[in-house]
Formats: sequence, structure tokens, C-alpha cells
Amino acid sequence: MRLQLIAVSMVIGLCGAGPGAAVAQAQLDDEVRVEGSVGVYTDDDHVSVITPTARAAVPVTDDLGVDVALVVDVVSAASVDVVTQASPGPVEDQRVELGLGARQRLGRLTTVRLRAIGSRENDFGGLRLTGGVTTELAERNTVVDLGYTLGADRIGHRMDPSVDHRRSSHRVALALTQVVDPRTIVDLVVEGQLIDGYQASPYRRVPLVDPATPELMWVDERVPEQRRAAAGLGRVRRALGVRWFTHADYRFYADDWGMTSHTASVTASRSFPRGTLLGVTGRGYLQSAADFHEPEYRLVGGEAPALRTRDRTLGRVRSVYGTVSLSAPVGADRFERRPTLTLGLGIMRFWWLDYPAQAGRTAAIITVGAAF
Amino acid sequence: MQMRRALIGAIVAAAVGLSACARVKPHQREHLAHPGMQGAPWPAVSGGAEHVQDVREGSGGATGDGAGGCGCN
Repeated sequence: MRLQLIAVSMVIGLCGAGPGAAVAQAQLDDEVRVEGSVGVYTDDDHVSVITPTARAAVPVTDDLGVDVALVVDVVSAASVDVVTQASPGPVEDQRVELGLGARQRLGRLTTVRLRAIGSRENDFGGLRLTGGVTTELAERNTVVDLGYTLGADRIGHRMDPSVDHRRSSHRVALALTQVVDPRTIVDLVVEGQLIDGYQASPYRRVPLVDPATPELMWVDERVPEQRRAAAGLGRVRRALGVRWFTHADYRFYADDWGMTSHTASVTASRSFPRGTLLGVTGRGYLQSAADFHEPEYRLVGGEAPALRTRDRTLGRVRSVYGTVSLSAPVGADRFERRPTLTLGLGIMRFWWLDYPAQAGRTAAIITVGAAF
Repeated sequence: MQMRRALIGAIVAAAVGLSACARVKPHQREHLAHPGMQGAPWPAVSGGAEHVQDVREGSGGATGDGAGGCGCN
């Protein structure tokens, strides 16, 4: 359950439907490609996550390619939010995610894709089915991508097998990439999402204050069954001189729970001889609270509020993130194909302004990867 | 709903506007094809960060999925 929200984004990124596919949307790998990485997350709240990933992409014909990806999260946690709400003590948990995908080229400029991703942990199961089409227009100066994802989740409880909640989701994304000049590319993305079904946490209990008594009453969390969200992103990528590159983007999000967020990030990178690329990224995030989120809920006329949550991510959130990344081919130059190693070191700081039990957290992420 | 219409209207308007840009020929795409110009130059690194942000923050989506391409291949 703790990992369910991250179930899809990782594999989508790995499998080529995400940001990592930025240059390759309308093309297929023409050779077998194998990638692997290990990510280590650790923070100042006694949570650590080790995430090994593996992916292989295989061309079947000149126009058809398939790929498979595996992600495992191994979690060790003694966090305030985990221990007090989900388990009586520190927990060890594991999530396994498998993705299968296919891409078919239609003509010279258009590619369609299908993907299925399943995720499983002891109290959660998720499935995502994605279809999309990418086409290049205007002498390959414009790339348009349209994608749809259907999601189905099943939410349980590690200590109560009778808990069995469901939810579904529909997500549509339209992306436009435009080559502006020989040094500049602009990306625009709009996305709409509808989530329907259980969206609370079966572990989370909300304290209610009864003005007539000094004692707190604890009740189940309850949030709306539907959530409609829209988000938009604009990004500029520009080559500066021969060796320097920069990206800058801004993203806006709004939903019918009354939440809005603003995200801005900048990346600067420099290339070195033999294909080495070194870069730094900075990101800032501001989020408002959901309409029904309150730091403290009170009984009104002896009744609990219809909507109540203790989800810190539904309150006001701020975060900053900085990372240094390096990728470098290794091995002798005489080989036509050389493995590329990737290293990343990132620092994150989160502030949950409406969650006094844990107002902030600092985390480090180390990533080591290889692709061949 | 109004927000969604506004966003779609903005991207359509931008598409029309950007399509008027000068057409860049294949031989002019040396810089555009460089790995530093990819949407995510280090996908393993950025994927791990998004992995965490999705859990620690309350909003997701439109992170750039589907955007990309430079017609360089």
C-alpha cells in the first residue's frame, strides 16, 4: 500500500513511454538493448528503499519491437507515518512490478504502442494498460503523441484480509514537440485524469476532537470517490555552443479536490570527449491543500465530518531537489557498441506544512545503471 | 472542465504557432541529436526521483510522458 502510487511511473519511464524516450518516440531499437540499474533511497526518518530494475528491448522485425521490464522495491522502514499507522513495528516490504510492451511502426513516420504493467505487493495489486500513437509531421519538425492509460487497482490490508477495495483510472495525454531552430526544441504536454473508487488509506485513522470531552476519537479516513485532474507542462531544450545544453520546464496541476501545484526545473549539462555527459538538475515544487483537508477535525452536532483525511500529501507541500548525473561509455573505442554507465546522486527535501507529526524529511538517492 | 479546455486550447494554439517555425533540415540537426538534448538525458536517475516524488507529493501527471523527438533518426 505504501508503494502503490509509485507502481507505474517507474516502469513507464524505463519502457520508453516516459521522459526517457524523449528522442526515440517514433523509432524502434534496431538492435537488442539491455539496461539495468540499482537505486538506493535513504532518508532521515529511517526509511530505506533499494530498487533494482532491468529492461530488455528486442526487435522482432524491422517494424515491430517488444520489451520487458522488471522493477523490485525492497523497503525497510521505521518511519513515524509507517509504524504508527500501518504496523506495530518496523516493517520490511517488497513490491514487484513487471511490464510488457510492443511497438509497431506504421509507415516511416508513425509508431503505435501497447503496454501492460502489473504491480504486486502484500496488500496491493495494480494493473495499467496503455495504448498510444506517435507521428512526425512537417518534415519531422513536429512530433505529436497521444496516449491513453486504463488503470485498475485492488487495495487490501496486511493485517485484515477482509479489506478489499477497488478503484479504476483513465488517463489521456497529448504531447507536442516542435523543433524551433537548429538549437532549440519546445515540448508541450496536456493531460487529463479521472480516478474512480477507493482513494483513502485503509491504515490511516483521523483524530476527531469532541468539544464536550477532552478525549480524541479516531475514525477511518474518508475522501471523495472521484477525482478529476488536469496538468500541463511546457519545456524548452536548447544547445548552448558546442558542448553545453540546458532544459527548463514548468508544470501546472489542478484537480476538483481544490488542489493546485506548480513545478519548475532546470537542467544544465556539458559533454566531454568519448561521449561523457555531466549535468546538474534543480527542481522546486509548491502545492496547495485539498479543499477538505484540515489540520484538525471536530465533531459537529455529534457527527463526524463527511470528508476527513490525515494524508500529509493532501495538505500544503513544498519540496526542493538537486542532483548531479553522469553518463559515460566504457571500454575500448574499437568496439562498435560500448556499454554506457550512469551515476546519479540526488538530495531531496520535503516540507508537509499541515502535518506537525512530521513536518519535513531529507532524503538522498543514489543511482547506478548500465545500458548495452 | 474549464481548466482542461484552456489547456487543450493552449496546446492547439501553440501547435499552430510553432508550426510556423522555420523547417530545420536533417543536416542541421547535429546539436538536436546530442544526448544532452534528450528529454531525460539520464532516465535511470530522473526515473528514481519521480518514483519518490509521486509518493511524497500530492499531484502527478504531465511530467513529459510522450513528449520528445527531434526527427534526427
